[in-house]
Amino acid sequence: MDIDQVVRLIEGLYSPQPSQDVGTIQQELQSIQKSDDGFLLANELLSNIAYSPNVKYFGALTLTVQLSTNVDSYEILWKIFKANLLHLVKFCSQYVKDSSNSASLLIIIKKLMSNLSLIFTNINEWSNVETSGSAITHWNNPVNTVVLMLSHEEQFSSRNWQDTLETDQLIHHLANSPVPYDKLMLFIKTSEFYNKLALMFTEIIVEDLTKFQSKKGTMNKMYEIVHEHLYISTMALINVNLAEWHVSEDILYNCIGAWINYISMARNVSPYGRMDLSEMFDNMINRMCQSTEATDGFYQAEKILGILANVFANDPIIMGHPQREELEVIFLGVSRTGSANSIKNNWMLQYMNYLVTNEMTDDLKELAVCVVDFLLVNTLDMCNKLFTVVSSPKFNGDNLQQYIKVLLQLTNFPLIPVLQEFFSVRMVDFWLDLADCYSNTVAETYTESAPQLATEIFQQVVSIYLPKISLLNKQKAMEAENDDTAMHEFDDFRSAIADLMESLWSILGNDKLTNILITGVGENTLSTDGTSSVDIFEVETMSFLLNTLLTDMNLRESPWICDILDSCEFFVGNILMLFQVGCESSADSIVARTLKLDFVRTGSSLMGTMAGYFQQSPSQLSTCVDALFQGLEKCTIAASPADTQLNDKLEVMIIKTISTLCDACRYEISPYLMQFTTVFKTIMRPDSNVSTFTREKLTRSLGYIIEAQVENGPERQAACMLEILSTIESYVQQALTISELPSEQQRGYLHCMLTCISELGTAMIHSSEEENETFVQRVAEFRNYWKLDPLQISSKVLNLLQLVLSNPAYAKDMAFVEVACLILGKALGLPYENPHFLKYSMKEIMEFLLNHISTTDVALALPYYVYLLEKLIKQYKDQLSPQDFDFLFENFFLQYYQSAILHDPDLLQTTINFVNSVLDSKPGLVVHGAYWTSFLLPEFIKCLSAKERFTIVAVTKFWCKVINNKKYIREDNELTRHQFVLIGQEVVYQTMFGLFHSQRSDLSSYTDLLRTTMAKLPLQTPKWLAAALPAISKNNAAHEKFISKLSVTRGSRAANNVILEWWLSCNALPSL
Amino acid sequence: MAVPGYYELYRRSTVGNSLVDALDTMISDGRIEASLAMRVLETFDRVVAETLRDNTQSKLTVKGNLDTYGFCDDVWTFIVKNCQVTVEGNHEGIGHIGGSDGQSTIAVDKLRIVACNSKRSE
Repeated sequence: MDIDQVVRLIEGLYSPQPSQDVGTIQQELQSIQKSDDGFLLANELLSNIAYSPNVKYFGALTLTVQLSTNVDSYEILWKIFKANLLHLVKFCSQYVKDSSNSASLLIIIKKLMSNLSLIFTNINEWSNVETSGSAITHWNNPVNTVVLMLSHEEQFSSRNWQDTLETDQLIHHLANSPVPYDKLMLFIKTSEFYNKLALMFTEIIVEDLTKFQSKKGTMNKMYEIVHEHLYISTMALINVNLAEWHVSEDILYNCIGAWINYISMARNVSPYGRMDLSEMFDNMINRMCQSTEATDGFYQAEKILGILANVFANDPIIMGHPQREELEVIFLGVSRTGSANSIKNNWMLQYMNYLVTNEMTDDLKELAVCVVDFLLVNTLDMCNKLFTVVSSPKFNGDNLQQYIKVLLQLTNFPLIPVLQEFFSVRMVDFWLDLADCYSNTVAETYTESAPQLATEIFQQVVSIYLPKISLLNKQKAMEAENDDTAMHEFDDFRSAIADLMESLWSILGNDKLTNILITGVGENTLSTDGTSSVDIFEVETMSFLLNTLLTDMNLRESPWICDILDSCEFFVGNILMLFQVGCESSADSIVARTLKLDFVRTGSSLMGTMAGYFQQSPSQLSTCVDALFQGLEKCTIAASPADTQLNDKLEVMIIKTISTLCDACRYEISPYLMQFTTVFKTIMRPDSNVSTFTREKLTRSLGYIIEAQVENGPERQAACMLEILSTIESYVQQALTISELPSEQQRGYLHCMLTCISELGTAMIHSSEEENETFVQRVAEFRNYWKLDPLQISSKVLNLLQLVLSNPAYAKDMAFVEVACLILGKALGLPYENPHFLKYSMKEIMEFLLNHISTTDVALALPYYVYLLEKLIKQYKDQLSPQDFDFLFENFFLQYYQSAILHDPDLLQTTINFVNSVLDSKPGLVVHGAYWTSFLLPEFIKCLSAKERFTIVAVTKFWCKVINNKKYIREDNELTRHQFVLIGQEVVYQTMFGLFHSQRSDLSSYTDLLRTTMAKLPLQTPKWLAAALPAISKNNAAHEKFISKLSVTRGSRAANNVILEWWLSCNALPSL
Repeated sequence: MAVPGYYELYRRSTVGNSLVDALDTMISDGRIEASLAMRVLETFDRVVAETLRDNTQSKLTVKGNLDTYGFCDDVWTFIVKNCQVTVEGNHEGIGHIGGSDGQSTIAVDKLRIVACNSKRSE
């Protein structure tokens, strides 16, 4: 292919509409780039002045390809090095002479610089390679070399930029010649473009070095060379630019950013990575303060603050103390050590004023982030100075008070948070940090005044944030923004304040925080003339925070809090008002709907949290429950689809609170059983406009109240239950007979009815933590009653299940199978002494399952049946024999194994896990069964080479349990050991076969099995492995190493590593 | 300015494991070099860390019995037993039942928390 063809291909490649397929062009060009002719091609493309910038860029790119593929000696590297340098100097020279017409050269210049940065690393890192001829073996400072070559430009241009003997000698001479400071300054002052190119070059070099992070451990020499040479030139360049010139060049700031990045990385890995940046930061700070609205519209300040923000966010200690102190004075007007300078702080105030006046919210946010990140660096120091005796004697207390005052003012930034200002939002992190520092400080080191001072400061913080997080501000933020971002940001802000309150509680305690909030909520109410002296937004804010604090307390056991709540006569009333205002407020816009939700959420959550209080003082409990039901009723009225969506959310919040109250205050609420039953009957009707969730939760709530009916004995309980179940039964029968009911609706309704029975069953399970004395005394009476079950309640439930499942559609519907199994298994596992109306015998459950297995789809129903069977075996294991297990296994698994289970990994896993659960519970049932040797062992050996992770996990667990099972009795142990010795070779082969062919992420699934086998059979296992491995992979060295390492390895992680090492070695894969 | 170097711990997540498996297959098939696979994983480390930092708003609260804790090499490890994990602030919305209002609670027998310093390079 001649050069013209290549050029045409390149032009085609970069053309917006290439005539040929780009992939084909790329392939053709890549093959030339990688070939031995690549270097000649690159030279030609970069030499011919007539070629377009695209073609020239491709030439520079070809040199990159040559560098990465064709360099195997210093000589070749030296050749490419010289070519690169010559072309770079040539293009730089052209650019400087006519920058306006040569701007397109910049991209080629950058590529050539990047090539040289790669060469810079390669030359210096190859230090131990022998070389002959004139090639250099180290390169100190690429910037100096280019500066010198540009200074000797005529000598190269007179030889037409060719690599001749003379240019070779000259480059050799210039490559490592020093450039004194004066000369460097002279050079960059010759042309602003020289200055720009020098900054660009040093930026590219350190950016590339930073990118080579994966090699950083081996680049110590590079760090040393950069430290000794490039760093010195660069700092000279940067500092003179910052101090003397006031051009607003982004290149300068990019260069500074790249160097901070590099040093930040390098100082963690090499002693040569530590480089002082004090002068640079001094100059940056000075320059920032010189930037004003009049000079550059704060452009330089914005750039510098951007860099400082990143420094504080990522590696703040890269900046020295004096510079940090100076910044402190600029940001706050005062420093912790006592320095003060109102002039510098005036600059800050001017800048903030400029941002606020021009509504530059984003810039103000960035400034807030920068300032707070800066403050966070010194929190510990500040905490020590403020509160402890650890601080130095020169510390000035008054000054620190002033400092805190400024921080509080900053927190109280007088605009709307999130929407207009971010200082208050970001300062949350600072106060949280300070509070944590204070709490974690050893109390002995506190100064005498520390607790008082901390209380004063943090109380002010609370007072500042209370109005800040008001929903009024959220409303304004939402009204001003069109998308949801402001709303989410405001919610995050509120959550952050809630977290802050939790931390402040440990300092302020109930006296100065919880009680204040309680009083704040409950001290006022509507006056007699109907005018409100209560700010509902204020009540909401305090309730929101109070909820966070009270959630973590057990109010039932906190009488002092209950006393305070009792003393605030309007407290519950105001919470109810908050809730009711939310329920009744309009929902005609997104903002209104959001606020409505917030009000209801705060009100209902707090009512739920106060359940413990209502146990102690139940006088207002019924009022709360009434209000909640009224709220629930309102949710059933919807005028539009948006209302329906909103109502769904409100309904869930309200019913959850009702359920919480009924659970916690079941005894206090029990007089209202009648009312609850009436509501229950209403909402259970098919035409009631409530969600299934509400029906289910309300049934459970009612269950809690019935469970508390112990005074009148089990008969009363049973009567209540019968009423509930009869209601459900009649609605079920009604629904089954209404054929015109849409099938999906009927299905949902019927399923909900059955779920309600399950919920009732859950509610009737006694909590051992909260035993009622009357119940404990009469427990035998209850147990006997439910054993006899004179009202035949359990049969009634069973018949209802049979009735619904007799419909073939429902028998094959897994939601119904699931709920049926949940109901039947509800009381399985409960201790013998606990009475329950859903206690079914093994016979009843087995009959039910055997009846239905023929009418359902086993492939889908098996997991639910297994859930029930596992519970059944655990409960009745002492009554079961191996023959019973065989019967069960045959009827539920074996019959379907070939047709359904074997081809479905999920079912296979379910089957294996079922056997595992029996091995966990009573292994004798399975190991002495007929199917153990005839089916389970041979079949589960095959599963060891399964592809699916969950099958592998289940089956390896099975084999672990076979080899090592604490539940074995002596007979089981002897039998299984004997059996395993006979099949061990096959098990090990299949395990290793499966392991070899599995994916890297599945390897750990085999670890336990291999460890257990090796531990339990240390003599046989190495032999089995030695026989199995050569048949799997031909890597005997790896096998030997694996066997010897595995036999001495203890611990799961170490065994994992041994397995991984073998697997990588046999599959020829890297460790990644 | 991003401090270079990211933790590799997300490689053990489900998505990380799948990526490693996919890269293994591509290396075995000769479609990519091992060095490229390493580069991909380095990028993965960075992107996961950045995405979790920038694009997540959920808050997770854990309440339970602190069984074991330790601090080594700037990494905190906690093992919490019998805990309730509450996930809130999921603005995308969790399912209606049991988790309305962007909040859901999960009961966990044993939870292992590994907390690394997000501001520190690897």
